[in-house]
Order: sequence, then C-alpha cells, then structure tokens
Amino acid sequence: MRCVATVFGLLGWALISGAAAESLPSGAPQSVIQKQCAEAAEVGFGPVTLAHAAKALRERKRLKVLAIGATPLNERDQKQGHYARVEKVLETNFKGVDVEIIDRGVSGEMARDGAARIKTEVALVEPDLVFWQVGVADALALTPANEFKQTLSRTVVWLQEHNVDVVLIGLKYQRSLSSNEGFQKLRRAIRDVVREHAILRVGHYESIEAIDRMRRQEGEAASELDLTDAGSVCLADFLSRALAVGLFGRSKGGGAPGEILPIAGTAKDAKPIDTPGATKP
Amino acid sequence: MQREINAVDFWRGYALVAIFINHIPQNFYEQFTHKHFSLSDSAELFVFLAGWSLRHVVGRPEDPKPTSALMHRLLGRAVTLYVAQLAIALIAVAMLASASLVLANPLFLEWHNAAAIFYDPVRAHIGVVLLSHQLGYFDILPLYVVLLMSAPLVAIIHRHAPNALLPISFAIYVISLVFGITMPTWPVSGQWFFNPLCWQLIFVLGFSMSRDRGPGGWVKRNIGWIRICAAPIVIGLGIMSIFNLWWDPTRVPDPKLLFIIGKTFVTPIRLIQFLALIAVLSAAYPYIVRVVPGLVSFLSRMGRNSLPVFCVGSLLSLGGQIIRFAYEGGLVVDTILIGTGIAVLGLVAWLAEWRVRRD
Repeated sequence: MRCVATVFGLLGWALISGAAAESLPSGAPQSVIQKQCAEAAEVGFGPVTLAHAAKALRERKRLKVLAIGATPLNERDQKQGHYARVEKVLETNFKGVDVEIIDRGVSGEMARDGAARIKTEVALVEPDLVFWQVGVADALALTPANEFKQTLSRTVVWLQEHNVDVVLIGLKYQRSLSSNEGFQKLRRAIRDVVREHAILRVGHYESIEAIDRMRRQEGEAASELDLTDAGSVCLADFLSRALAVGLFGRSKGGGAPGEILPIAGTAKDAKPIDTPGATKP
Repeated sequence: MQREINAVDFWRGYALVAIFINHIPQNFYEQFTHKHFSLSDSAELFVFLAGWSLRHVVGRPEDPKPTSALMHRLLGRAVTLYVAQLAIALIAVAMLASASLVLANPLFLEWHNAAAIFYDPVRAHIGVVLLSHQLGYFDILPLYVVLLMSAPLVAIIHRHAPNALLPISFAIYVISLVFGITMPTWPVSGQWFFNPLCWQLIFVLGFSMSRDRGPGGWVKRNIGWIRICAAPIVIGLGIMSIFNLWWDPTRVPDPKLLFIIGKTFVTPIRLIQFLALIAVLSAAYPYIVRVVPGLVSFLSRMGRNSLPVFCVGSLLSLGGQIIRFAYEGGLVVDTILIGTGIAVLGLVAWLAEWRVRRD
C-alpha cells in the first residue's frame, strides 16, 4: 500500500507543484542553439582515431555503424532522427562516402543488458563502428560505479578484439545532478574507460555544460528542460563532428588519447585520410 | 466460480512476482529470481502459460464451443488487454512526468523510451495507440495483445486441423529467424523488444502442450524420460549462464539467429532451455504444494487474476524504480519496496475475486 500511496502522492504533489515548476522548453530559436552547439562542441572531443572505421571507408567507401542505447531524439527535426542527420552530415561533407547507421537502441537499457546485446547485434549487423549511448539508465538505477566500469571495459575490449571501433556517448549534463555523487561517479567511470582503452567519447555532458555557461554569461539562465532540449538538438552535431574528427581530423593539442581537448576543426575543414598531415589510422 | 488451486495458476503467479522484482533493476532481491541461473526468464513462462490457458477457453474438440461465441470471447479479451496497455502506459507517462517535476530531474522524461512522448507528442501518441511506440518494461502486454488478436486463427486451425497448428507456428518462427523479420517501432526507429513472429511459437507451444492428444499427449506420456534428458540441459546452461561461458556470436555460421542467444527473437538455444526448464520444474509442483501450501494459494490467486495483477505490478515496479532513485536504494529500501509491492499484488488479486464474489 505504501508504494501505491507514494505513487499517488507523487502524482498529487506534481499537480500541486506543477504551476510553479519549470515549464517545457521555451524554445530558443534552433539557429541560436546550433550556434551554441558549434561553440560547445569545441570542448567535446579528444584526439582519438577510429582505425577500423577509417579502414572500412578507405577500402569500401562505406561505413556501417551500429547504434546501441537510448535512441537520441530531436524534437525539432521531426522528419529525420539524429542518426539520419548524422548520416546526412557525413555524406554531405565527405563526398562519395556511404554511411549507414543501424539503430538498435533500447531506451532504459542498462549497461549490463546493453553489453550482452551488443555482442549479438555485432554478430548480426557486422558494423565497423558502434555508437553506445550509456549511463542514464544506470544512473537512475543506482548501478555501482565499479560494476558499471567493469561492464564498459569488458565490452570495449571485446569490440576492439573484434575490430570494431566504439564511440561512447556519455551522460547528459543536468544542473540538478552536477553535485550528485553517484551520477558523477558514473561520469568519471566513462572517462576512465575512454582513457584506458583509447576510444572516442562524445562529451555530451561538457558540451551542454558549456551551453549552460554561455547562456548564463548572456544573462539568460536556461532551465533544466531548456538544456535537455538543447542537448537533444546538439547531439547529432556532436556525433557528426566526433566522427569526422575520429575519421579524418587531428587535434591541435597533444595529450593522452581520449582526453577532452579542443579540436582543430569541424567536418568541413577536416582532411581526408590519405592527405598528408591527416591522422593515419 | 473460483478455480481450484493448480500448477498453471501457481506458476503464472510466480512469473508475475518475478517480473515485478526483475523490473526494479539493481534491487537486492533481483539476484534471486531464476533469470540469474537460466537463459530464459519469466517472460517465456508468462507467454507459455497464456497459451496453455487459451486451451481452456477454446475447449475440447469433442465438446466444441460455438465458433461465434469463441471469436467474441477471444477478441473481447484482446480488446480488454489493449485498453489495459493504453491505460498503464498513460499512467506510467504521468508517473515519469511527476518524478521529473518533484525530483527536479528531466532525465525521467527520457527514461524507458518516454522521450518521444514528451518531445515528439504528435507522432508518439499515434505510435502509442498503434502499439508501435512502447515504454521500456511496458512491452510485454503489446505482445500479448497481438497474440490474442491471432488467437481466433489459432482456435480455427486447432478446430479443423489440430496437427497442423504447431508446424505452421514453427515455420513462421524459422522463417523469421532465417530472414531476420521483425516488427518495426515508430516514431522512434527500432524493433519490438518481443518479436511477435517468434514469440508466437511459445504461445502455441503452451496451447499444444496443454492438449491430451498430439504433441501434448506425447509429452505427457513420456514426461519421465523427457525430464531425464532435460535436467542436464538446465544444469549445463545454468552453469554457462552463471559463469558467462558463451560462444562468440560472431563466429557462428549463417543464418546467425539460429545459433546465437537473443531475447527479442527468442532464439532456439533459449527456447530449448526454456522447454527443458519447464519439464524439470513441472516435477516440483506437487512437492511445493505439500511444503508451502500457503504460498501456493497466495501465488495461485495472483495467477487467476493475472491481468489486474500484471498491470498494477508494472506500475508498482516503475514506482519502485523512482522511489529507489529518490531514496538512494539500499537493502532497507529494497526490502520495503519488494515486500510492500508483493503484498499489494496479493491484495489486488484478492480484491478482484472479492468483487466477483460480491457480484
């Protein structure tokens, strides 16, 4: 009975507090959000190459990507999802390249379940690259950070052993969770795995945090839901840029692989693999 | 009139409790449900027993119910399940929205595939009504709706060509595996977590095994040595599950779905393990009744009222996840959640029967 009472209490409290609570995103113009995405993206990626994906592009002019984890959603772009947009951005910027993203996302799936499913999906799809959005369900289910890290590490190693590159899409920035110890431990676990295994991570958290900072500096503090909205809009851009950098680009800075550093440029000015000066896979 | 206590209701009650516990991930008691020692889990058991129960609705071939009455009853049941699915999905969405407001955490709006409902409501609401958009952990009832929608066809084939039913079902299953045919989701791209084209085989197996003739009759006559063969399968695959000793799925021959392990397509190895498991477990029921009759009575009541218990259980498990997050989990919180939740499920079953008795 206590559960029922709690659930109904929760609903009742929501009704009472609803008027005072934050509204759904007020909706900054998409061009403004995209500009902020572009600026925020500068803090998002590290100097890691996607060797197997780059090889697939070089030899087959084709890249097969498997997307696992919660499917990103872009509410402002209703005709195409994030992954369709990522495909389009890459194909537009790199002529003659065929990118196919196969979405096998299960929203709410925890790392342990995703890890088990990735192996099956890799066997079925035979991808060159995996996008793995991970952490949110584990943060809400209070998965211990050690267990989470072990699961991620084992799966990344398995993927590397099978010649599949992986890009981790980490936790989203939530101002209300910026001091939540469990949330931050999982965030650190993702960063540790990225460093230890020299893989690429889309710094979704840092990027949205940067947007939050920009908005504050402009005197327009964004609500949590505004930031969620911005995060959804930006993720496709972040992914496209991360992929472009991992495949073709080079970071200005040095540093360890996977470290969060500013990047040299975006998809448009990245150099193709065989161009002198570009990162060799 | 209330049914007498029986194995089917007992195991269905057990499946409902196990689903409730498993749907609060990371809770302390999750590690004690049979999915941690087994390839298959309570979903297979639930669907198999739904098929078994369908046999009692359809009736015996020597005493057939009028076809129109049968169709009316089966389709009516499917509509009831459909409405129940819509209702619990709507309440779940309200719970997630409430949690996001009260706990000031917008992550809840994106949890369990709810993001489309909040950020793409125009298309997502159409998807919810079409069952092409399903919330995480609220995806077994849509499968059940589809299975019951196809139940009239099962009943007709059973009536006119009973021996053809299982081969037809098996053929659909194999074709789906060989060609990787599945049901797409919309507006969020993906596929149904429970592929109805594959899971229908478990439903039909439950229906067929309940018969005294055909495959069901053969199994009942040979259950002794079937159990002897099944026990090593259960033990062997149980050990492999515990120690994660699985073969590399990338190294199996094509068509890969015939050889890999997957829940969505309920692949053959999982299906074989499940059938072996129920062959072994069916031997345990008489002993369980003797040792813990109160527990059997309690779970059987839940099994007799599976729809309301399942619906309330789904919502309680979501509420449990939210409460766990709010109170930061731990053994005490988990014990309160699981204990209270099971008590509430028992109360729901009791109320459902009390209402019928009163009427």
